[in-house]
Amino acid sequence: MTEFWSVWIIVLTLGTLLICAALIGWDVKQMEEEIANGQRSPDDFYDWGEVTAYDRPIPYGWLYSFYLCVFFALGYFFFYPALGRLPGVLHWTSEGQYAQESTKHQAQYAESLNRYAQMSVPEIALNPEARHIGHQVFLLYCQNCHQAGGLGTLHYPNLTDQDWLWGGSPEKIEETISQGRTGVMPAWGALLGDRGVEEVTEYVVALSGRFPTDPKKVGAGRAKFEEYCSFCHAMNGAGDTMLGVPNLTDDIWLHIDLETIANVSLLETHLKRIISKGLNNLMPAHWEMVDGVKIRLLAGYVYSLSD
Amino acid sequence: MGVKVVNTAVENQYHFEVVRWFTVAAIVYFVVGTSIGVYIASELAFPFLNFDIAEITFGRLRPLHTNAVIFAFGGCTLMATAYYSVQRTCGVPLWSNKLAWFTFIGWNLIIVSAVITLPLGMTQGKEYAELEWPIDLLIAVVWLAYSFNFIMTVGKRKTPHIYVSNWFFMGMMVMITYLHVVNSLAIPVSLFKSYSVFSGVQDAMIQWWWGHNAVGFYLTAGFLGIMYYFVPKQANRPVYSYRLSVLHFWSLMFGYVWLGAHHLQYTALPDWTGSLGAAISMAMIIPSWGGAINGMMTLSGAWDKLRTDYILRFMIASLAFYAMSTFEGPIMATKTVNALSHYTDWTVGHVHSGALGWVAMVSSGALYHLITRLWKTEMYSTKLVGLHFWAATIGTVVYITAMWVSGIMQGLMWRSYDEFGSLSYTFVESVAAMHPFYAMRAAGGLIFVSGAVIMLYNTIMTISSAKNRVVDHELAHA
Amino acid sequence: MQPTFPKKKIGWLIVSVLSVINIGGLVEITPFAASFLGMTEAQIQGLPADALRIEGRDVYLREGCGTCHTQMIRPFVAETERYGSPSVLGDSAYDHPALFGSKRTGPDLARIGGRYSEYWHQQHLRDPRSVSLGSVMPAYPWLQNTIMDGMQIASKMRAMNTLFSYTCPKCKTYSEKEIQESQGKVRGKTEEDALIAYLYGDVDQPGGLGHRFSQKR
Repeated sequence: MTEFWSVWIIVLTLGTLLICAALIGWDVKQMEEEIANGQRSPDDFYDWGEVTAYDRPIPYGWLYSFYLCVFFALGYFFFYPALGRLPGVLHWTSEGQYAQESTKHQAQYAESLNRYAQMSVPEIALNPEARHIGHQVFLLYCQNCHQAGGLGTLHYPNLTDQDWLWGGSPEKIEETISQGRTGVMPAWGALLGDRGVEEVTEYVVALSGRFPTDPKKVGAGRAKFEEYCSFCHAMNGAGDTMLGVPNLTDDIWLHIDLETIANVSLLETHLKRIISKGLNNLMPAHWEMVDGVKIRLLAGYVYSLSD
Repeated sequence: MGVKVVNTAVENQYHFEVVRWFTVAAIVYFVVGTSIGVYIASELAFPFLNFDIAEITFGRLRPLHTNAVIFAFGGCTLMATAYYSVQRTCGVPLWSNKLAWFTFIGWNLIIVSAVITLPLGMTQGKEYAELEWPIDLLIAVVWLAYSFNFIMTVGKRKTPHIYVSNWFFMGMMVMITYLHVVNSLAIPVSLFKSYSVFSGVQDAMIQWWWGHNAVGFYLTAGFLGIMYYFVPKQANRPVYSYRLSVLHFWSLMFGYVWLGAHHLQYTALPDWTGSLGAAISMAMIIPSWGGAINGMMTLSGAWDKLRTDYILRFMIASLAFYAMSTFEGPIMATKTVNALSHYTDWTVGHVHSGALGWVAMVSSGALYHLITRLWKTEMYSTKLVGLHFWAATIGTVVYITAMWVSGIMQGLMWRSYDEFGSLSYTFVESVAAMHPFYAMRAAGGLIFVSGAVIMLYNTIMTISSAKNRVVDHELAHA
Repeated sequence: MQPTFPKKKIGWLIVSVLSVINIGGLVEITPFAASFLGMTEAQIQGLPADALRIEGRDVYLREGCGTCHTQMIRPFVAETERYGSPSVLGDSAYDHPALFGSKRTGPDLARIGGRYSEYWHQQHLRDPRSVSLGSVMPAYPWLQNTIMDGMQIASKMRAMNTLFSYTCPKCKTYSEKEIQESQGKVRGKTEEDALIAYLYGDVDQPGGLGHRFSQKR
């Protein structure tokens, strides 16, 4: 803030507070004098006809408490930043308090975490206390999507099975947690057109082996699949863990709830939607939110879930 | 209503019909506003009560609750009591009876608009100032009419000096006009959609300048005005100290305005503003207690009246809650306590100790007094007034206790760490832990509402049978 | 006996009250007008929300999300670990009105952008307890069925431009091109799309709640 506003605040604050205190003091003095002079007695009262009021002197307890409160306020101004740019004797700032708290916090827990800092992910997975810490971190940052126990649900992978979109090695798990992942599939609706989407859908149903299909449509679909989709999904639909692309031939479906698929047309509806509109799944990067040691502990916990 | 009883010649000159209508409206809105409160409290304890219906979800109904209790109930109470007491203390009828009726119609129109627009989601998004711009304009017009009428009445008074309750009313009127106009400044985009002129931290500061001064000038100064008339009248005693009332009036007028910043401690608001807010908040404890002391000590020499006079009990109990809330508030305004309490249920508890304990109870006392004077009768059932008193007190205590526990628990859970430096609780775990207290709070609210319902019943019975029980209080207390 | 303090003139009383009540505001609020206008560009985070996110924010306002959710992270370790770096002056420069909130029945949302996928937001809005057990949030299933026509978005953006230019001269404004294209961007989308766009933010241009978890950690 500019010097002008700083002075403005200081003058108005201190000035008006002191004027108030002076006015109160003057009035009390006046009353004391009037009582001393016999010009008024404590039993005087005013009559508005409808209501009346005594003119008792200000209770001294109240008055001195008031002075005390004003004194407290002035004390606050002295120690803390309150008067314009004046920083206060303590040079306190909320930012400074936060920096101090952060340092203290880290130091406080550094020791208890230290013994885990050198452990590898598989070692953590075998250590109950380390797993416990990882579990607490999981509750705070992961459970909302991956659900209790890491069992996952629609759109959020099950962490307890052996199926890993981005690789299930300890290093890969830690990388996934730290860097985050995006599950993006482009929208193919415009390029393929309605008929093309139908054909590719038929092919994907065939790949899944869940329902009988029309061979002619499947053939047409395969051609298109190999032309457009295989770059990510591979020729046989096996997927690619380097790109986080799922295997289309297995029984694990992330974006369709198989339990709700009673017949082929329901499956087709979902597949058509995904193929034409694409997907935009997200797992946030945790390196910003969580300390490095905790990320490793979390990775160890997650690794232990699929053992 | 419309029951004509024998009046003294002096009585005939006053315009009390509009006061009667405001009195009954206030009591009806009391039941409505607090009932909405119980419903939304129940929604938090049992979310299925939202029933997937947009218009009754918590987010849409909460502003309806706050507007109904503050402006519908509180507003009608302030208008009834101000119009009544200004005539009596000045010894003259209202400057304009027509203008007073205009405010009755206008204020009720505002309330009806609120009932329609708020559940539909037509909101400016500013706390305690949600109503959209066309309604804001109507509020400004009606409020100015109310204030102008009041001020002109005081202007032509017979008594040379202005009684203290009238200063408090006037302070409220002046400040609320100012606050409402500035805080409601917005650019309209359509008939019921507008954007606030201010943004970010600037807007937050304006919102809480309004918000806290709505508390300080509307809910405090206005109701202190009520207290200063109705307590001495009900107790039939002089006010304890005129001088004290002068001092604490001016301290409140001066000091309350600084407090808004305490709603923004540790936010993006600069540190200096938060410090000023906290420091002056502490300094305001004593001026507020000036009112509590003055009111309570008015009973000095007549404490035994409390044994039999339930209306007086309401008023004195309200002053006890007032003193408590005006101590709790400043404590919560300090940075240290605020770091724990901000965003928790403790704030809600504090609000309701003031709203239920002080505002609602002093209003109840004043409204009962008004009924007895306006219909020249005793209440249909004194027992029911007593029952209402206990329902109000117990309901309030249950409510605020639930919120103290849940609020402090939340604050502690959110900042709790385990031995490895991980946060101990996920946010949703803290929500789950709140459930029993949300249920308890709804129960406390329900007890309170039952008191309001009893009041409404008692009022209806009193008015409908008033002519059977004529009591001229003015002659009785001459 | 009459009071010695002259309370005779109603006019003087009003003038005195007006003078006294203005002091607090003069001290605490007027410096903001100046300091806000003097705010540097660096303090203002990113660009104002795009058309879809404006509509999303209006849905947020309409449904009263701010009655339970705050958008203001305080500088405490427990808070920044849970929600992200502390909120600063510029984060809300474009928010008319500010959405700081005053109660956390639900968690703070200031830096929720990019933390949850669109699918999560969909599921959460349609049935909060399906992804967040123990939540007391109401469900908002009607949002997915309300299709927007975009009739108001251009005038909303123009209103915003007026506001930005007067109250925040260093803030960016919407170009005429953006305003012309706005209806096309909004029409046909559901209110749920809009709200999720607001909550999700934008990877490239932080607008709405797209402020990443840590601006400076």
